Amino acid sequence: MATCPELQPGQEAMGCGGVLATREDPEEQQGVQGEGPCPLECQELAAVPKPQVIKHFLKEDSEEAELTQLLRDCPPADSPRKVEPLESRREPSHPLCGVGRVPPDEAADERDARIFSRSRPSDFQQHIAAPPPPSPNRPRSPWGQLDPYDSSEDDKEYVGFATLPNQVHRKSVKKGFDFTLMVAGESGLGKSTLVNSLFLTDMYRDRKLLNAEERITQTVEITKHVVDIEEKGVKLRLTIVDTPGFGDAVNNTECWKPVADYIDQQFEQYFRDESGLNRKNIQDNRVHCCIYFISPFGHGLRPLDVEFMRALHQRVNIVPVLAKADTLTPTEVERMKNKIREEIDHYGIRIYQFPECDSDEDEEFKLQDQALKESIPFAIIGSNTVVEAKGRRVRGRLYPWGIVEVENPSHCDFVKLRTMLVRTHMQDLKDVTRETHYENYRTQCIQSMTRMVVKERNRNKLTRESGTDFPIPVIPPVPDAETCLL
Amino acid sequence: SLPDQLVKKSIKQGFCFNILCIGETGVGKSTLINSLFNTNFDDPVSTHFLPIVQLRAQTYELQESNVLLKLTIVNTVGFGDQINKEDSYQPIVDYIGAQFEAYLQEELKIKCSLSSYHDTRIHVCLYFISPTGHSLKSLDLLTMKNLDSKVNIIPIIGKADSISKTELQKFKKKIMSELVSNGVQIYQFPTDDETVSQINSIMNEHLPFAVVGSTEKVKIGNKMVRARQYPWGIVEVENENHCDFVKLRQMLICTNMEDLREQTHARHYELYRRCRLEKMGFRDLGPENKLVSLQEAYEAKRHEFYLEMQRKEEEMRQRFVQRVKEKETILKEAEQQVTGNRVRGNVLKLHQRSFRLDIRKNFFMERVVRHWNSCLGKWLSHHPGGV
Repeated sequence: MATCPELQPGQEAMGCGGVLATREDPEEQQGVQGEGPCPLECQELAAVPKPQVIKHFLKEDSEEAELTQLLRDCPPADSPRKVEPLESRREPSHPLCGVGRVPPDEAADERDARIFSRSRPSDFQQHIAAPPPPSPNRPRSPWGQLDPYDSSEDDKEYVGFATLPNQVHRKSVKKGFDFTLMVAGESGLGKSTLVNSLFLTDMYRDRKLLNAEERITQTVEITKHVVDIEEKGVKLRLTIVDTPGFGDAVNNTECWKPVADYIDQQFEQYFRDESGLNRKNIQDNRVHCCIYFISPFGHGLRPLDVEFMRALHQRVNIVPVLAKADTLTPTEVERMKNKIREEIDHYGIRIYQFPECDSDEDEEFKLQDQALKESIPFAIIGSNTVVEAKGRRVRGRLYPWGIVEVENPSHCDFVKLRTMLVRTHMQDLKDVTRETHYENYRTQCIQSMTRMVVKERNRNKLTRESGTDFPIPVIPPVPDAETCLL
Repeated sequence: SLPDQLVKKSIKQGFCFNILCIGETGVGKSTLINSLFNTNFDDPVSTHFLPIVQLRAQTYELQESNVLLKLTIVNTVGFGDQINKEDSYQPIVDYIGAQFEAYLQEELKIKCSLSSYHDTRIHVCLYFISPTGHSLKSLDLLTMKNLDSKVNIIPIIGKADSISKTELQKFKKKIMSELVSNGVQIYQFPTDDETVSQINSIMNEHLPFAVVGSTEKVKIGNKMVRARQYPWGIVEVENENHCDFVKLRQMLICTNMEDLREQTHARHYELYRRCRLEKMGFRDLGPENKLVSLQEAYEAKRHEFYLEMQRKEEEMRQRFVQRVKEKETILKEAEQQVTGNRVRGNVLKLHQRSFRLDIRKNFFMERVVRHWNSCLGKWLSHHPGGV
């Protein structure tokens, strides 16, 4: 019995368990292995096991079924809540779990050690060619063929950090996500309906629409709604920034200014927080994406659309959409989209570009990506009501001449927008905001600050004042009404 | 009988009808007119980026059975596109006023020939409301308030195939209540004639009409009908369940066209004429509350005008003389300076200076005379027929 005194107390259980496990092994596996593998396994405790040794086990087909049965009960690296009960259960029922032991000079973090140990059985699974069962809590792994537990290459040397994505996944699920979405466009284009349809909520229950005479001199407001949604254990804190009053007044000169000021204000606040001393709880309120609604009743972009997008394309990711697309026949939709794309190029507006997909993605994904890129601007229809169509209940709009289904890809691009916004590109939107737009703002800010400091310094040269205080610029706060729906 | 004679004469003369379509670019004005009159008027698609609102008028001659119709369609181009829309309604008001003015001038002519005059006054204004589904836009309210006393307004909702039935009811109610609460006078179909009063009053309840237009035809059953084909269904333009196109056509053309023309002439034009003549200074009642005929008023006006002109001429003459005097003193002083200034020495320079002064004197006189002539000419052109 190998005792390893250098074990840390937290790992002791593992060590014992491991040893116990080796003793149980013969029992579970009908004593085929006998004493032979035991010293081998003990050796493995201190060193990286050689794959060739393990191939040994593959020959035992009779145990395979039982092993796979056992392994199915042991879910792979998962949420930490599962760690506790499994630890206690590990000794009797999971003989292989204990074998994976962290060499004492690695992995200072206890939890990481546990993860490491947990990952070992998966490796074993790999070698025994049993596929890892997808646990109900863990969605299909997004990295497809690169899942380290999926490939059949079992003669590669491994250290085990192929499981890092798994760890990231776990941590991010625990932390939860946040996303800020801004919707902008004239009144009556279906913004509220779309937001409700996208996130299956009902956020605009109590809003009041102004009369026409009140709107003649209306100014743009900024309102914020916060919603916490949870799906399959993943939490999302969604902030919707709305711009009521945009384009409503008779004179709309510079009506985008409050919007631009709001975005800058969020950047400024983040910048301050980042430069502060206590950075533990920074709340990221920066706007990650702005959906701009283009009216389908015209022949393309209007001057107001162009001005708005030009004022904001350096500050936020703009995703243009063609609103209320049930006004347009398919040929008209195509014509309108081409016209809008042309005009966007013509006026030099930089809308959000989808990242190029890697060359080793599969064909289907590439085709999907291509189709997505060619559908900009998305022609969408929103609906809060469920109607009965062909015996099914679908979200749609009921007309005397037919029923428009919101989630039907041949009717509109709603599904594409939802996929892109929520399922595939949400993280990319956040990254671009952080890396491009926020960095631009930060650069500008620091440049202007250093300019100010240099001026100060020049002025104070005689008095020998060291201008090390960096004044952070203050933008007058835009009043915004925040409602929180929990 | 008398009505028959009248009818025969009017058929021979032909009818004339002028429609003004106001609405944002792309709301479906041209398509609707094409559908209404069942022809293809070939209007080019306009851009959104015009700096001001313009009006484009085109006249067509149509014939149905043995009735000739001279139809003029006036479209607004660039309406609602600008970022600052405060002056958007002004070109429209000016256009309507100009048509009234032309008619008034024709009426006031000594040798007027109204029977062969092509009447370009706007008989009806179709105001296209954008189908947002909420309410009127601020621009709509502003424009209609400025136009309701000058032209018959019929509000209609364009591209109504994006509004479902329930939403449409709410939308129509909201629009009508907003119009009423802001005191906008839209055209009401007349209910005083018993033959049409019932249908007209029903139609009044359906205002504003929600219309769909189409230039394409789709085969339904075994007929080709005007329709729009969607993946989820076909919207038929002439189907009363789908939109109010048939109602509009009936009201506008079949039933009330003549009434529209009459209203334009009897109400809007008369109002314009009265305001205009009052502005010119004509009154029906003289200073002692006696009835004054147009001729007397005209004579009085003319006399007043003449006196005014004389006074102004005198004023100009005074000013002219004064300026000449001023200029002469300046030149004299300069001349004295030149002759009395021997320090600078150079005789040539002195000669140059005096030469220049002489030229200036000559040119001054010429300039003065030219200036005087142009002043007189300008003044005369502003007051035609005054002398």
